[in-house]
Amino acid sequence: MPKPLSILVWTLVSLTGAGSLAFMALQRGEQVSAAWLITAAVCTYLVAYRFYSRIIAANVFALDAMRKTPAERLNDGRDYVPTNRWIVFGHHFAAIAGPGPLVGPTLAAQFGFLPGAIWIIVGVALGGAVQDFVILCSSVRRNGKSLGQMAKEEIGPVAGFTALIAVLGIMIVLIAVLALVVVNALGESPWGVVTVGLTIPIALIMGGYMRWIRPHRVLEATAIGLVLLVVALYVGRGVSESATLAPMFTLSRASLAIWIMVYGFAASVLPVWLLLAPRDYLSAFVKIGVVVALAAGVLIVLPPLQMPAVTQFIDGTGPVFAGKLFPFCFITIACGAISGFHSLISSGTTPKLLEREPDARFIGYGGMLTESLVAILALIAACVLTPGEYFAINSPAGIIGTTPESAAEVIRNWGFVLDPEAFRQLTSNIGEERLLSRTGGAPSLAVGMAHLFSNVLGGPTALALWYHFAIMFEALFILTTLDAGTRVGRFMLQDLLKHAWAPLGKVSWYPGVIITSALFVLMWGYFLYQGVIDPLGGINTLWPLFGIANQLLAAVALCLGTTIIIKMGKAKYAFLTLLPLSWLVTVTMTAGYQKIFSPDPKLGFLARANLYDSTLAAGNLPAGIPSAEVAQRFIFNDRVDAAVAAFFMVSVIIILADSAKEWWKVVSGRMAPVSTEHPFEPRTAEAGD
Amino acid sequence: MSSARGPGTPGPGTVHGQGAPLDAGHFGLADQVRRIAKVVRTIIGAPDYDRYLQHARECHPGQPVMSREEFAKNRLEARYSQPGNRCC
Repeated sequence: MPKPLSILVWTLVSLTGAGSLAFMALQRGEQVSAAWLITAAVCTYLVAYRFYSRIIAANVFALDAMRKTPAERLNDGRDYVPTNRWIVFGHHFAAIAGPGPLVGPTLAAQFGFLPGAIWIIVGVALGGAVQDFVILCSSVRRNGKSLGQMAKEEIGPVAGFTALIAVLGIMIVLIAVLALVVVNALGESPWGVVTVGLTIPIALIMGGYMRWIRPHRVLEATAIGLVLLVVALYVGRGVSESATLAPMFTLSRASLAIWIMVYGFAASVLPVWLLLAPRDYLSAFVKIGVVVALAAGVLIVLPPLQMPAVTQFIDGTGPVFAGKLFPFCFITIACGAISGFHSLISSGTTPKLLEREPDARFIGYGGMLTESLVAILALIAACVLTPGEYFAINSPAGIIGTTPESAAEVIRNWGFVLDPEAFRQLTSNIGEERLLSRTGGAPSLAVGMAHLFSNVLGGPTALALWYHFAIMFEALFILTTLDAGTRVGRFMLQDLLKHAWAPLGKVSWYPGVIITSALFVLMWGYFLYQGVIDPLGGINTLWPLFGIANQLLAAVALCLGTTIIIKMGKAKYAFLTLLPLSWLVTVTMTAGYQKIFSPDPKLGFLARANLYDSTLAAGNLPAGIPSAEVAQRFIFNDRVDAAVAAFFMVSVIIILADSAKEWWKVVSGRMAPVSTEHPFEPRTAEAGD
Repeated sequence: MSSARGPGTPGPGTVHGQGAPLDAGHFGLADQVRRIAKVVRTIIGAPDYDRYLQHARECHPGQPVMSREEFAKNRLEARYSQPGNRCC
């Protein structure tokens, strides 16, 4: 493009983006179309990609198309394979996108759509995409080393070990909270239980097909799996309409939690080809399909956002989760704005596939921008509901009661309208007995998506099918994260415990596999179960804990990124990672401190434990608690949660202090900046040209 | 969204979505389907034995290669044993 034209185009894109954002922010009392939000997001992404990511690509790493990538140098036909950048992009996106960017924005909608939207858009441009891109480049320049290895080598062994333990801790909380989302979506829902339950035998059939009938025909097996998923959807409906079968599959949340733990254990000890791999293939397809469908649905319908731009709950009194806008909006939305977990992927499979160095910009920075767009779409889908419906679905029964009438009364006092009859109608239209207090975000997102999809295809009668379709794929994503995560967690545990007792480290020793798998399942199962029995719904407690953990990992990744940039002798560009790092440290520290020490028992773990303690001592039972024994268990759980939050905070401080020491050594001139990159090797004619 | 790319054609064992070997006249429908299938398999992370075999033949001639079964087992075990494959 000629220069003046280019300047004109980019000025227009910038102005359109800024204008849309300003329009949304200034519009008061009237509904805003989703089109404004999408325009603001896409324009910001384009500008950020064109200008901000260029600084990292050109000035920091000086990505060079003539420099050999690890895929080229170490090509082994297995891990290291030079791959077309569009394919790597698809692979990377399928790995980073999961339930996180769908659930987080839905929960954060309790503050209104604007705070979440701004954080997603600004956070990704200056934080999440920077993190993914910088870690990807660092790993590409170091033969595809993992985050843990790089932290150990660049910062020091203490930071490396802390990072390892932190990853394990995060996986425990992550799996627990995701399992809780599934439990809340499927509890007392025979249709959901049957449909999602059938995905397990479907995976087994696919596994058997690829093993014995048509060996290694992955795509054939996946096609069969996709057809069977649709069958499962209809079987679920049949069961829910049958007077004899429906009660058999109406499971309580507590028993569902046990079943999910059994499933996680099975996935960890069974051969991968049987359950894990087929589910994963199926999930990857459904994931990309759903993202495309969601985008199409939102773009075709361009729904008005029913939720106000900002609600009164920014003061911390919200029913979905406790805590003020700052810091909890930035904890609740991790994936979509910045997600520490991505740093494991950017230093996992992806760096070993890059064919040319400059592709890292499109895959690392661009891939994260795409996930951010998914988060914006999820936010829109959640805001398609009226505020009354949204709060009726997402508030725990401890706050709004157990009937639509009691909920309507509470919600009226918040200044929103809920028509109990209309809500009953909605509940029966989506084919459920209960929609009230289905916390966790997945059900309200599914209702929003069902609205969008039935608008495009099928009309109001298709609402129930679309709702259960949405629940099915959300559960499919989550269970795929859960089973693969449990297996990885088992390996990490084996690796740690072998220092205590060597045989536990052997992956071929079956008793060791069983013991460590059971141990890891019990670890996340403990948090899951305490969430299930919590009268405030559990999401309240666990989601912030997960957010803190995930942002902690992002802080680790950004510490590493800063260290690498400074050691390259490019300290003047360290602001790129220091900016999001300082924000994240502020946010996680404030949130962690409030979760532990806040005097408000709704927010602070210790305050609630002390309240229960004193209520029991006075001879009474705390509200919503059936017995003194249960109250004792809550007191213990709350103290465990406080300890976990404290552990995450201490980890951040250790890694930050360790990194700052390294930075100071270089900046003060006591240590020469020495890059640990693999030396430059030019691409030659023999290398494929 | 284009970035600077080096000149030339892909090296041995390279995965390309479009326009892999252009010399053999691979333009038929069956070839197109096969090519798309290969792309999709790579995206969902399925083991690609043919690619491995091609690499082994070109770069390590005369050395033993894994059978299709061994290769699949090896790939799946590697995929599900470390973080870096899946996110939230």
